[in-house]
Amino acid sequence: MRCVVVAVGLLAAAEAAAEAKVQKYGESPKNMAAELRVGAYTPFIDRGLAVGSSGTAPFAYARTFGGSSMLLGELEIDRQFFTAFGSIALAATVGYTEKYGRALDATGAATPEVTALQLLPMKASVVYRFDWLNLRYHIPLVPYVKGGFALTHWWMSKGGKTEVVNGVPGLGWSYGLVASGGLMFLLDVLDPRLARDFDTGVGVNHTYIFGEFNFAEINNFGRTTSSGHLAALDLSARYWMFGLAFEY
Amino acid sequence: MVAVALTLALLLGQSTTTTTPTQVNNVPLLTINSSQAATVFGTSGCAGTISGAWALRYTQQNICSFSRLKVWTTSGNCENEPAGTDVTVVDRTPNAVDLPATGTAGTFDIQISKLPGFVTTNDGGVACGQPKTNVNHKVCASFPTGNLQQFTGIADCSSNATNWNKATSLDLNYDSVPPDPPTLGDVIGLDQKLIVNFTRAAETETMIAYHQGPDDANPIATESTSNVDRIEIDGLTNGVDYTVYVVGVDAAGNASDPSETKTGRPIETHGIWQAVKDDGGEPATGCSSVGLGSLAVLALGTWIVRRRAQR
Repeated sequence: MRCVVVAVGLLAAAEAAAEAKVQKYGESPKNMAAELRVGAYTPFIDRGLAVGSSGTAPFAYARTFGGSSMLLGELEIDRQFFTAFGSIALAATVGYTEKYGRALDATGAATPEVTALQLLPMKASVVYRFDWLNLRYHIPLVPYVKGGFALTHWWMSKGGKTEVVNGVPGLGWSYGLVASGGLMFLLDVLDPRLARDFDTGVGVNHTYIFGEFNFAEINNFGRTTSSGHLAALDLSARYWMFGLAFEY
Repeated sequence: MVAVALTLALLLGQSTTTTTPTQVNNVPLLTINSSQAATVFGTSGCAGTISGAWALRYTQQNICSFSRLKVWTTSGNCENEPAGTDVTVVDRTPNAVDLPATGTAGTFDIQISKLPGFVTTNDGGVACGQPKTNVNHKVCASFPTGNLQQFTGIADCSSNATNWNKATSLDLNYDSVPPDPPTLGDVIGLDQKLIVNFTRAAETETMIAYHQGPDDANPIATESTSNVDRIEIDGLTNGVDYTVYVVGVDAAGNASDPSETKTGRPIETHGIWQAVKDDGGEPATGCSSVGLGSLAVLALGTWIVRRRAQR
């Protein structure tokens, strides 16, 4: 019972301090957020090739790139429209990643010719950030979840030019659904004065670092061709991303 | 003393431009400006003509009767006046200049075959310099003046050519020395092309790779002015052997002896797209593969950007 009383007392003190702080340092208005993030992304291209295939692994991605990851960078812009208990935002994301390897000869041996896979992912998603604990009690952790639609433009080249096979150039689009969950750490607590200056000077209310796990199913919703093969380049993946976020 | 400015634009094989220099107070000014600091030519340029332009600014009271504008070429140094073996291309006296006060301008042509050291052929052909020589010629310009009286600014012409205003000379380099032959490196066969690696001599500006297949009557040239020691030959047939060699060409157009020859064979390669197709992949391609969802992505992005812009 005594511990409960102490805990309630501390909570009340923290709340009072928080309110006093808000009154003392009025924040600039905020309804936007921007995120810059990077992560190691390994698309499930070979999983898609295995659909309806009588072949055996390793499939194209593993043969050409050794199955290693691509370094994916993304920029996300959020527009917050609900901020009462946490925040809900609509987000638009654009990114880029590329992977270079050696083209193979008829025997499967690597040749000096360079081949590349390049991706331009775009997403439209809804983001919920549970920042109530931070705003209310100054706990500098903000969990969040995202979910939405992804559209990725992909193109493949060989020798610096778009690779063409039987007259068909290697470029197209894949789409699907994405979801992610992560945790943000509020950097403002490390230097509150600098954080206030950042708000006063350029209008950035909060700065975070974060890590998130992504679950992406980008394979045109599994549509198949008449021959039973996947009718999409499967760019699904499970991967971590880390980055920096600004709320403004 | 006469205040003079002279501009000489020297252009090889290009249109001639004339500018009139600005006279600066009463200080003699004689300059040569050119878009080309140096002109290099080889045996292929012997039949050519170098066109130039001069411009002169003066005042009548600063000109003496002996003041003569001269432009000439020499294989030595630019002295006050042309020497006996030099080729004078402009010789004008002020009296011959009909502009009363400010100045005048003109053009000239230098026939390369008449430069000092170029011999006239007996058969009436084009005279050229000695083969495998490197000779520097100069274009010189001068204008002699009397003494300029300190307060009146009027020239004292009692003593001939007290002062010589000489333009900075322009170089005409006759270079008939071919560069050393390049060293041919690896010839790498890729899909319908060969990558030809080589090491060039320092003075080489242009590299030419020649290839000849079994069906080619003559070697086919692929030229590169890049400073990368590699030439890519496209449009070849996979599985066919091609004989390859390279030649270097310097700025004067002198071609080196050919390098050694090597054989290269283009091979079929499979990039990632071919690998996907080899595995039976049938992903939709082109714009038709875009679903309606893409429109939603673009619409949302546009909306967010517009809302941000309205803030």
